[in-house]
Amino acid sequence: MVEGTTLSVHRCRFVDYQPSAVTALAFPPLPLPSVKGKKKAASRKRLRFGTLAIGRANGNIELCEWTGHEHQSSAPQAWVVKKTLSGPYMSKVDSLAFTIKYPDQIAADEVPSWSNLRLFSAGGGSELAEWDIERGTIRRTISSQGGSIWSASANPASTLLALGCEDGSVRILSLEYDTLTHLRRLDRVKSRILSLAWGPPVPRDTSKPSSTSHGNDEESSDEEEDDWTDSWLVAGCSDSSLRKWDIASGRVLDRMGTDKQRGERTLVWTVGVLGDGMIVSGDSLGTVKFWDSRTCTQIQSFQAHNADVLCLTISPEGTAIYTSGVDQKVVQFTLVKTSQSSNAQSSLLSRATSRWVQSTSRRLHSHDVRALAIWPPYTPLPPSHKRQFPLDVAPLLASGGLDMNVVIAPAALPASTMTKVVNPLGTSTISTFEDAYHRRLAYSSGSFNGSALHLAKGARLLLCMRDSGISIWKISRKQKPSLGVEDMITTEDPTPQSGAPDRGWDRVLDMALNVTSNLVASAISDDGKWVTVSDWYETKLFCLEQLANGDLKPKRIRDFTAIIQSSFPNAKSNQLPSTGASSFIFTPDSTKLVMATAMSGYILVIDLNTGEPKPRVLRRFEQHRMQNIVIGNRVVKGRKGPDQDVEMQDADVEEKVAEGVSDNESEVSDDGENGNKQASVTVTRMAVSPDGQWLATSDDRSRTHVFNLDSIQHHCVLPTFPQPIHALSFEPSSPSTLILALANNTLQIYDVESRQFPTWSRHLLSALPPRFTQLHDPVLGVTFDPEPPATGGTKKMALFWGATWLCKVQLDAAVWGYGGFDKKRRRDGKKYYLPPPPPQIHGSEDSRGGGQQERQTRNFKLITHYRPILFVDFIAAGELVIVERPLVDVLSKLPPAFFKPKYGAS
Amino acid sequence: MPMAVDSTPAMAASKAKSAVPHGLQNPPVSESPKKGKKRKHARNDNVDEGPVAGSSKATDDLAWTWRSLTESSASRVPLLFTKDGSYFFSASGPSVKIYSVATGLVVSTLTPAESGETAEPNLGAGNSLTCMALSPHNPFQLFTGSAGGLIRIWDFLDATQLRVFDLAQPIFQLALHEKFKDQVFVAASRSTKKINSKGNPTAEDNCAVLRVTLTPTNATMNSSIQKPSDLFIVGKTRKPAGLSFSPSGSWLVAIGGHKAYVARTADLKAGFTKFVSDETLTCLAFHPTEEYFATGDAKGVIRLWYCLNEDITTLASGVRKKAPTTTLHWHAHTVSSIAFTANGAYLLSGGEEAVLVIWQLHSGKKEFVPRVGAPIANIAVSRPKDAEEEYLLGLADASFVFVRSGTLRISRTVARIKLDPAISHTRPSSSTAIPLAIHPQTSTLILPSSHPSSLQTYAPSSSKLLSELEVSPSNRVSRRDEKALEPSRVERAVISESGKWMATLDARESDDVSKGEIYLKIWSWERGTGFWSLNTRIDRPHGLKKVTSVAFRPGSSIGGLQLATTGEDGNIKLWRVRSVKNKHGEVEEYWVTRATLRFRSDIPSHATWSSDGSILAVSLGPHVALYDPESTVLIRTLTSPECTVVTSASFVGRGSRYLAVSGHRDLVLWDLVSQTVKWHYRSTMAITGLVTHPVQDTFIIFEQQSESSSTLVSTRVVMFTPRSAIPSQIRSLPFRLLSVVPCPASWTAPGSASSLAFVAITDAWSVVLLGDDVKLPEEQGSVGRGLKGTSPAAKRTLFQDIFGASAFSDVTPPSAPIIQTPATWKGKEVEKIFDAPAYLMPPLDTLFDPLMEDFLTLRPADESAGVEDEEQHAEDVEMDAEGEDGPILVGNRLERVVDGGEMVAMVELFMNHAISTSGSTSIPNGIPQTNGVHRPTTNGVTPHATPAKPLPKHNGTTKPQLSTPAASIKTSDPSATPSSAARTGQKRKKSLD
Repeated sequence: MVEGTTLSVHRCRFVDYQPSAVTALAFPPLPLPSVKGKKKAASRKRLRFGTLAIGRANGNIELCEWTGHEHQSSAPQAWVVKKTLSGPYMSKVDSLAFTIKYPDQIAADEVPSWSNLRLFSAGGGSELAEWDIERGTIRRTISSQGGSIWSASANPASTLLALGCEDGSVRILSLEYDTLTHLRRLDRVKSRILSLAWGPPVPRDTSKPSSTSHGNDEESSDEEEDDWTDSWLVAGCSDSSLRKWDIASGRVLDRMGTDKQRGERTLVWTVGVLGDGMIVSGDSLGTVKFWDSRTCTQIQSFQAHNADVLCLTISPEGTAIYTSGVDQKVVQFTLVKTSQSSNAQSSLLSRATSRWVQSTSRRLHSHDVRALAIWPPYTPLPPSHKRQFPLDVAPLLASGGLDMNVVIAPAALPASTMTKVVNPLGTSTISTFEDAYHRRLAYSSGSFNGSALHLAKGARLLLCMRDSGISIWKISRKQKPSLGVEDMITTEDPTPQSGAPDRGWDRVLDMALNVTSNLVASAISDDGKWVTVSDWYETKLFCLEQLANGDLKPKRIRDFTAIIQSSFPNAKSNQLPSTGASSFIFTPDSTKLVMATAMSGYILVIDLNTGEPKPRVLRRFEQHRMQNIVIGNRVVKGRKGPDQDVEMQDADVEEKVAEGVSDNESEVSDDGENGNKQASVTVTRMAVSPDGQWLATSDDRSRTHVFNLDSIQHHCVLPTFPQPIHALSFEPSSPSTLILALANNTLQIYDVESRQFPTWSRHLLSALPPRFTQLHDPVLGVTFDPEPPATGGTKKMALFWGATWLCKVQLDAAVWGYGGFDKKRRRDGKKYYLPPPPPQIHGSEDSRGGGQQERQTRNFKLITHYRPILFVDFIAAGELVIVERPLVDVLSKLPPAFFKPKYGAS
Repeated sequence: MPMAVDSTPAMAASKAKSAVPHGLQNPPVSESPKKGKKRKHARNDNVDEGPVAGSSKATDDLAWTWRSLTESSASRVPLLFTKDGSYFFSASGPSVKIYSVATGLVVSTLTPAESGETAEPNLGAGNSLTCMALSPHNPFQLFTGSAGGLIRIWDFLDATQLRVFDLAQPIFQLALHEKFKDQVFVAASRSTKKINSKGNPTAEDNCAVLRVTLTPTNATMNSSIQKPSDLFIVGKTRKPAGLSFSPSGSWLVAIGGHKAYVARTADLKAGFTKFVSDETLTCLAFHPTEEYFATGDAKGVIRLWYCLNEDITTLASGVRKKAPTTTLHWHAHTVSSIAFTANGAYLLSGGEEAVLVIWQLHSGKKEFVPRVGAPIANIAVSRPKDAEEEYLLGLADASFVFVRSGTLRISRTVARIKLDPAISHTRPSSSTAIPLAIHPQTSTLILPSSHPSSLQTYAPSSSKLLSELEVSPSNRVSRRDEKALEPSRVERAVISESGKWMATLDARESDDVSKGEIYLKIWSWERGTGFWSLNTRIDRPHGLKKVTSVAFRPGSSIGGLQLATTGEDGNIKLWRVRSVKNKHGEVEEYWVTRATLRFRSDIPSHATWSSDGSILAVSLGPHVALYDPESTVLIRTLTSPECTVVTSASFVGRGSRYLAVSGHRDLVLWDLVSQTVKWHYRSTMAITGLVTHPVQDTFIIFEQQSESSSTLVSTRVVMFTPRSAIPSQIRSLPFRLLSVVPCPASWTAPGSASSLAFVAITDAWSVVLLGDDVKLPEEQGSVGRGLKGTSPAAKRTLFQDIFGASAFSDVTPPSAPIIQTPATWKGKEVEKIFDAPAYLMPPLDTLFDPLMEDFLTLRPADESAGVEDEEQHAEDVEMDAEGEDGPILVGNRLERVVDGGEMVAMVELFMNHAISTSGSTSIPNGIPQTNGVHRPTTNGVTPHATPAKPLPKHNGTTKPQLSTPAASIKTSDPSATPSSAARTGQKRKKSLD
């Protein structure tokens, strides 16, 4: 079916894109249970997977969503970036904290959604930033009033945020009612506060009249409705000690001294508190210590690491602790029950019936580990209110550090093997931390899991966007025709070190831009004449002129901002939304630029080829801003397409969940914008059909709109898909066919012209081979050979690609795929694909099964020897550009990792 | 017990199968000349000889008596301490040896009685012990389990066997707990299949843990071997490497294969819960107080398992059970043994690296005791009530090492002959010679050691291993995955007649990495230190070719000492001592080549000297060339048609009139006076050795059975006299011999100087004494006997450690340490002064003098220079006498407040003292003597004092208890320092005056 086609490949390794180190990880907290402690029967229900926030060293924060369905036990793609919050240029994220915006509006076992979350970040300076997750901007900042913020930690009730400051004070900020104000300052000590942790909250005795124990009357009046009070706070200090503050009085209750070496100060980098009051600390000597919070005495100490312990996290049940740091090991500590020996002689030794042991260590990273987080998150609750989690799902431990990848590892405890524990990653059936396989989440070069690279086919230019600048390379034409290489094996390998002029590429332009935030979007027109770049606040358009020596000279279109602003409604000067864009695309004839504004979600069609020096905005579309067609993130009005009923069966479940939230959303939007009922969305992907007629846009709520560019009209809206759309493209042979690839590696094909899902594609889409859908790296793009070898009729060959794979699919293959299989073969086929076929978008599972599946598998041809792939596209017919960024090159720029060779440690 | 009790260990035996058994000189050649003709020759010779003494015609193949000097190799059974920590048990084949901790000597051996117990023979692995345990109810009862399926209960105090239970299936492990009275848990082979030829059960992989009730069935109530009345199967396991109870007795854990099997003793019906490990588990230990256990595995990982809690028994099928474990990883090789200290704070582990690792459990830190000597096989922790804890390591070479827990130093070593190179390396190929020599001066045996590049010295008279001599220093442990370096092997060791010189030859064959090395090393015996010191090293004495023989010239009267070597390069070299006077006027001696001879193009195979050293006979091809060693002139060449290839020659008797020449199957006796062949003997088997009696005219050949013959007899010993070709005696031995030397006369019974006795190394690498009248002291404690009489030496109290021995109570002298490894430098001994913890040390100023004294040797007094023995004696006396002032001075120094009772005691003491000394008339006054005025040997203060002072008498009659401090000075015990300090302090003062 799939004949070997010959492609020549530009294997580009010269792109010096440098991803940014992971510096912080956060999961949203769970709301506190009711004080009455009534345990609901449903408490053992599986939790939805929460948002993973990844803070990076360049100031960006990536919000990742779980790709699996609610009733799907495992998702091979795990978390994918759904939204990138572009940080201010030259900033960093040192600590991240999620809090729940309205804790009383959420059930105890519900995972808060984006609209009910607040995200705080601190990055080295004295400013604490609160992010507007919807709009992707910093909502407000507040100064710590005490120098650099070393640590930030929210209390379990999400009402207070404690900041550990340079000057040795702990500042408490109030978060109540979506505010952010200074509340008080705890007693100052003479050291930096490097880490903070809140003690377990105390349930208020509701039987008593409002008199609270410690005389924190002014606070208790504030917290009338929530019935948990915080009692104490512990901080790791830079003077080899931990300190415990009483919240009520603000006094230092106790000081816990750690070990010192050669009189140097030990830095307590991280601290955690368990529900029973046990304090865990990790310090710069590599020791992990356990302290009793009541007496503030050390209970156990482990020399667990060879170098600094930088981070720790506590397992959901509070029975395991994971620490990591400079020596790259992730060490697991387990609480073991020691049934006490009943010997009379050992009665003196009868201590606690449980104790912590250092159980396993794994090396998941090649460089320092900076952050650890676990899902479900741990809430330090007193044992009477201890949260129970379903036992059959392994918690997931996320870790990240200087080697830029986030690693997800299943972290079930070996003791909990009474029931079969599901590994949510689907890497294997084993789910204990010691033995299970971990997964490395590939970083994406651009925002929203997109690519930072763009190709101008006509001009053979390759553009790469960095934090604050762009580079453009020229890829020279192939000298000699490619050899008869079978099926896309590399024919040339232009490695950067072969600096000779015949290396096949040239760096023609380097631009450093004056930006406010890190760059978000960029594009280059097909003829290489236009380049547009945008941060979150401003779009810049450049016209490129080719100089005699081959270099390009950019010329900025000065009044482009004004042109855009003039197109906005009610153009009052101070109310204007920013001109930043989240996505760009040029039409194939390079005459029009389509941009999606960053915060407002307008789609602007700009005519560049007006003959006048100034570009002109042709039309502004507001379809993405429409709030009213969305309930619970799903389109309910204007459903179209023949398949929608099948589609919606799936969607109903989510609707119910999200219903309660929808009210809040409207309130949110009140705050930010002009008070209309429009949502703030971010358009993440755009595609223009090869004939320039159709424009498809897709936003972070997975809505897709189609516009007709000829008439400059809104054409239709697609049903909303459950997953973010990662790849969006029109098929060149039939320009009205839109291919969509979702984050969980499922495909959709839509015929724009007829406004329906074509029937010929159903067979393909209903039986995607598991080999494709269970690829660990989500699909990042799809591309087509512009002029496919016209061998046999309509061959729609699509090339999907992810970070580590390329997959060639013949889209119309399944049309003639019927017949000629017998039952036996079918059974064999079933057996072969032992993992259950993943639930399809079209809920009806294909009953035809085996023979076709086998055919499908042959249709999906995977190539995995390029990695990690940043970008794949056809530069011309039969000429493919694959941009690779080998990890070795990336890591070689890092400082050497801590390593101690040891004999016998194999 | 003259009966041969060499129970060839199963392990060694099986390994020996791979090695081709070989003879002394050359492997037997396959060519077999015509028998009949040779027979006729022999008869002819007989006729020539004339009348033959009929008495010597004993041709019956009588088994020759022999006795093994070596221990059977180290047992894998864990060592066991008695409850008070004063003895320990070590399994040795079928019996249990009880060692005294204080002396390291075997005090008793529990050997199962042989009569009518089982049909099985008592020898061999079939009945060897596999496990031991002390009864938790009666600490004087020892339970042993054997591969033969017998559980024996011993009263080791009386060395009596109390009961025997027969399980009829091989037992591997045994566990007892006080919760289970009259019950014992054993891991036994599950099926009672036949025992295969090697004595191993065939179905040993499939085992079960059984609860055995120790009440006999009615049928066997009165028989000596009883059957247990109840057997309850707890569960099936793989072959268990360990079985143990938790300290509280609520858990039973077995390890086998990759799994740990856990059962709750309260609910044994539920069977085992299995926990999976990644590697094969090899050893098991329970924490003494807490409910967790530790295992070691084949990859060197130690795991602490925390799985003993209630939710263990919830079963889930299809799930690999894992437990929270802590891993401790240092070992790169298999962990062979682990043990917790008594307080549970430390874990000890050891393995092939020969390093004891001490893990501090709460911090994960570790300490090491490196280079304990051999791979560690067992670790046990002594638990004395009032003394310092000691760790006992059983090494793979069957020696024991004590490590003090306070200093983590090796405090003493109990070593036996460690011969088998298979412990550390492969056995040498069959063509290499095995060194074996007797040092006549000390009447010790020089043997190969377990490491091929070392020699060891063994004193058969005291059954002690004296020292080890590393002939060529080398690495002992190699990395796990790397190919082990081939060490150089000591191939020959010969000692001159005077005992002053020893020549060794160590060689390493060239491999692809490095070139070969051959060294001839000549060592001189240091009288003072009692050790060999290297005198001359000759690199490649015969090029890189093999050296075929090394022989010292006996009878050093004329022409000085010479050494002859022959090599495969065709040279015969003679070496001699050259003396040079150096600048300081001292005579330095070293060895140089004297002459290099060649005989045609023949390769010399053997060189031997006549007993007076006047003739050197070299065997070369079909000839024997006789040389005059003085002029190096070839005197004569002997060639006989009977013997076409000469492998060795030997002069017979004192007079060396006859020369016995042996070929592969022929033995020819030349009469050197008449220069004729006196007779010829044709053997039916290959002659592997020719040894002559040092004094008498008898000589022996060893004939080796061909390999295929399955008789018990492997070696025939044929004795001849020069008179006749008919053997005077033929004896047989059940093993092959690798190396033989004649015993010195002093070892044989005095009455029968004529008898022949030899020391030999067998193919199973044990040292045997051969001969009819071998006289050696019976090994101590080789039979079972009660322990009551031999109460161990009383431990010193802490008070005594600080203040020295009490003047009032009778303290038995501490026994001398078992192994005195002779050291050239005294610093090591001096170091022991500081062995005690700091808080136990006396003030530093009191330490100074004894320390210095240890470094400075006393100048011997002029009078006593003559005889060493006397000097030794005199020194002893001197110190004994000085002991008297010790306690008194210490009292003064510490400004102790003397109470009334003590005063009374003092007065009494002095009264007694005065009375007793006045009673012995020879000494006029005891008190001034303590000040050293009349000391005969102290630095020559009173040079005219007579050495014939009757001090010993004084010592013997009056105060035996006062000898204690003096004795402890000898052992450099820190506790004795106050008294000696006082003494030297005084002496010093005097000399200043």
